[in-house]
Amino acid sequence: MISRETVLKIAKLSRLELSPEEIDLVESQLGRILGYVEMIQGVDTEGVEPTAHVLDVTLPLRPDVPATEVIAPSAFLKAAPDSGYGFFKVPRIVDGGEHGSV
Amino acid sequence: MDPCKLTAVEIARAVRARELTAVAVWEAFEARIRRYNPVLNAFLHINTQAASEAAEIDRRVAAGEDPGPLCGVPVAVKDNIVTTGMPTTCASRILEGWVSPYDATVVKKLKAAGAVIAGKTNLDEFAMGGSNENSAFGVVRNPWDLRVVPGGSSGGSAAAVAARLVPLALGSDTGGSVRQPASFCNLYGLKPTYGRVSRSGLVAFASSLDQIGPLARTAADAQLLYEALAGHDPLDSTSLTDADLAVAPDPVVRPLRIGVVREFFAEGLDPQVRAVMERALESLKAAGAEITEVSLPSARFGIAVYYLLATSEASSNLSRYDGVRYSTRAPDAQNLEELYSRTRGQGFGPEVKRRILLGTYALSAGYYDAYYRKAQQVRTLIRREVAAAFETCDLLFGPTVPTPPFAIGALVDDPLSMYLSDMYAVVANLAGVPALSVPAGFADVGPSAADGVTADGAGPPPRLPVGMQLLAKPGHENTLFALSRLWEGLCPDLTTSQATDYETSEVTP
Amino acid sequence: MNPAVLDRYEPVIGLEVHAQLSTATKMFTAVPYRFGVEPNTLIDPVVLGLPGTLPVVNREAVAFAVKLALAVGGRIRNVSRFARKHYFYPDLPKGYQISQYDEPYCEGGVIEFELPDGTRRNVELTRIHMEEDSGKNMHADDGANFSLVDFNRAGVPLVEIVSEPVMHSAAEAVGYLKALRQILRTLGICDGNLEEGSMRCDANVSIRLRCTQKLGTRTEMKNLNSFKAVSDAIEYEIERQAAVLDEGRGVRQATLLWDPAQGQTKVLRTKEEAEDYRYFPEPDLPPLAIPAEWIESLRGQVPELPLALKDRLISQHQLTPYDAEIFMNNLEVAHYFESCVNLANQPGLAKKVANWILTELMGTFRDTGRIPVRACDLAALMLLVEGGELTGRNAKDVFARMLAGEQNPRELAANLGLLGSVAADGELEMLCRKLIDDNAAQVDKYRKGKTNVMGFFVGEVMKATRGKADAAAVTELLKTLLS
Repeated sequence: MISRETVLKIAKLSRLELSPEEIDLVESQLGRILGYVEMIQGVDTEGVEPTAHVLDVTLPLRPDVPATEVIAPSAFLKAAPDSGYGFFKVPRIVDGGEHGSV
Repeated sequence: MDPCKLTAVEIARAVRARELTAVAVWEAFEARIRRYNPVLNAFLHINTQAASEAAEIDRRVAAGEDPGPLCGVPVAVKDNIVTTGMPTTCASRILEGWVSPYDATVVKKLKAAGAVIAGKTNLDEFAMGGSNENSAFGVVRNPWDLRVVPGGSSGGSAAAVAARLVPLALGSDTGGSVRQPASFCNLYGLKPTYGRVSRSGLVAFASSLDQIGPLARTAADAQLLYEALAGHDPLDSTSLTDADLAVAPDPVVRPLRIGVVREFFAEGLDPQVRAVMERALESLKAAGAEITEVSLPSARFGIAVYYLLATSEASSNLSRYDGVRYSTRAPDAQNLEELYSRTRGQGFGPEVKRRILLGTYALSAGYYDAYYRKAQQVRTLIRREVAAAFETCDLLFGPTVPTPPFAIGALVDDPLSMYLSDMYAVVANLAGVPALSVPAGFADVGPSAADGVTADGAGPPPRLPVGMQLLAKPGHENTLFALSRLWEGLCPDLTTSQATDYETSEVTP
Repeated sequence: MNPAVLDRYEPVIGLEVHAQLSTATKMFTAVPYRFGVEPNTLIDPVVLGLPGTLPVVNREAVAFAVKLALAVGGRIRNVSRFARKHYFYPDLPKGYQISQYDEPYCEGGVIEFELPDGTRRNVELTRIHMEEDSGKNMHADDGANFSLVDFNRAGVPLVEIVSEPVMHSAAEAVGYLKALRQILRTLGICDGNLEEGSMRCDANVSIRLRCTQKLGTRTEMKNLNSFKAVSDAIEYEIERQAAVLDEGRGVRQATLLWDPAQGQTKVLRTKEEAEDYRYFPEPDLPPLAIPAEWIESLRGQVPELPLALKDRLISQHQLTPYDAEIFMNNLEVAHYFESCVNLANQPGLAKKVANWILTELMGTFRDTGRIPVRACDLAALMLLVEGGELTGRNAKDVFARMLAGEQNPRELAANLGLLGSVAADGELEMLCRKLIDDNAAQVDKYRKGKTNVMGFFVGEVMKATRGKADAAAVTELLKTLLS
């Protein structure tokens, strides 16, 4: 139902490192689950709108005013797994430029 | 009086009337927590500030103030709801030791209502599971029978209330995670109307399905906690205002028209559960409720739809756990890719990984239309059918779970079977309607609980709770509570019966 | 640019511009934003994507976005949706960006601009949508095995403006960008600073043989941090693609990074490596409603756009295109000019007012950023000159005092003894005759051909009248008397 190659591709997309045993297990488990959910393909949904939001609410908009209750920014850096010089630290980013981001 | 035998309503009244101090209440419950939690593993963290919070309540009461409707009542909080001052782990290694710098809105509301936060309870990791066997910090045991699961994902909260370690607890419900443990532990468990309770501070699993709900031993207690939580929150753009719902103060109609959902009594339903449901309906009918049958033909696709949508949203919501800003981080990562893949690969448990993979697949290029979008269309059909059913009924009825509580370990290797036990519960999440599990009766040790488990042989077989599920129209939680009050009048023994206390020495692993 | 390339190939260029909206707080949470402050100080749980946090949309950001749509004449959707765009990168806190995908708030629109030679061009827009900005990665020096992340910029509101691929030269691209920048600044919604990054441009470039219709394979270029970089990068890429095609190879679809130091592009990602963004509708945000009443009320806040202003200054006030352009680029001065003209309320005076402002005031404005003279005062001064009560020469002296802060030109001129001009009447004629009689030698020189002696005579008359005579009239009179 799902190939090993696909499992690896999805694992990469999700940034999940799987052991060889995990890959095997996932391949069979996901295969079974996908086999089960296939049943929705048989449902006639001609002209049916996908559910956008389950209840009819419009988006509230907030005023452009800074919040009064503020958490000291230093608290966030303290919780970081690795930080330094006031920045969050990560292993060196190799591409040296903007990746897909604006 | 022993505070641990009182309901939350009684405790609040007594503390306000200064018949009991909040400190005495807390001390009584804390003693029970310390004594029985090693067996049950319901709590991951006990609030070391609770005594001083209780003392503050007493001080305010003495000063003539009214601390609020939950005056002095200890409340446990599921560990996927953020709290300052105590860790929030979501029962995952990836958040082990993380302390949130902000409180969830519901936590702020609990404090504003005078509650004493007892601690954080165990759950299936990131709320993904139906048995509390997916926690990185150990399974939770059902106080009714320690060999049996308490349900999930709010297993810790349910076990804590059922064992009277606290009178009230918060859980979260995405596909039955408040109601199913309630059913397994003989409790009331409510999933409110989607948007009725703020999700700000609830660690997101599936954003369009998640709701926080109360677990309690009586209907009045569940209602007390629910009312303290409900309300619009400007921090949650999906939360409802009263104007959105236009609900009349007491919209309860008499006689109650109860629609029995045909699809909830089809293949897969355990005969003992069916028997409990039939007896319940008899009693309700005798008490004057109008019983009819309704059909939700698309309900049989509920699990498929749920497991596509919930996993898709989960795969997205869990992208933020990357080791950069706050989670644990894989120590041996040589580069960025390894940082991500190892942190997440090592930090997440197997069920979480399974769901992330499934969800990523359902959203991926080439599969989005066939899976995610198609599932949302079928969801629309389910919603329409539920709305149509409510044109002739005030409540929809069925079992909460197809089976009685099952043994620890029985379904761990079979994820799909585990998923199928949500089949009655997911409809309410998909439709956004409120749903309540109500203690309905007991089953004897059923086939799944007996599998591979050696009974002592001495004494009568343990009774295992069975819950019935009621669904109401959006905003009509009051109708659910009205039915519960009616039901409690009919079967007072049911909800007042309590799980036996198990001492540590009695546990046979 | 090698002209042979353009003979053979037609470049096809589309631009994607991201503009930061200068709201007081970020897009989805009430944290303020300023450029260039200490790292990781403009953050909160929502910005960092902490567990349990939810987005709440900034009303003013939507208002800014709507004004932009109105300014370019785009079609505004009354109901639009936000979507999640997924990829993993350290500067993206949630692992997804909240953006808009198949239901953007604006579709279509046009930006009009002028090329340096004065020709006008219209570039159609595909769409404009709203989204949030990411944080910033700092790459440590070579040798360091870590990178640093600053989330101050994360969550700042952006509009992404996508043009149709209808530009055909680097000059057009730059003209478009400058016009867009000017619109953003005129609206007051973005300061349009390419160097600081409040406005960013990505260029999609492809080429095709002239006289073919089929579009070539395009590449996307990023990191264009100045108008020069945009121009250089586009021209480089056109030539690079031409060389590839000339060799009989095909252009590979890729995302490229412009390196201004090296003057070339390098591959960031190929098409095969492109991320699957897994867009789906943002479940934490119900649909965004932009009702017609709100749009209409915002329409009233959209000022006249630069090119429209320029055209109107030319047609209404008969200014030259050159002068109108200066006003267009200095809106405050343009508004000042129009105030003066309206206050003076004298037909035909506009050109003189414009000339005066451009010669006498622009210097001060450029130096100080201020206009120190009230419009009513300048209007009054111009009227004095127009009405013959003050010579142009004396008016400059009066104005010098006004620049220093003094007001009320009529009073000022009177105090200086400069008010009133001597008309070319009998009194003046008598003065001239006397001068001629008293300076026979000079008269002789003049009649013998030294016409510059006129200057001496005019100067003497001006001295005698204390500058109140009109120099031109005096010259004419003297000429007549001396002939």
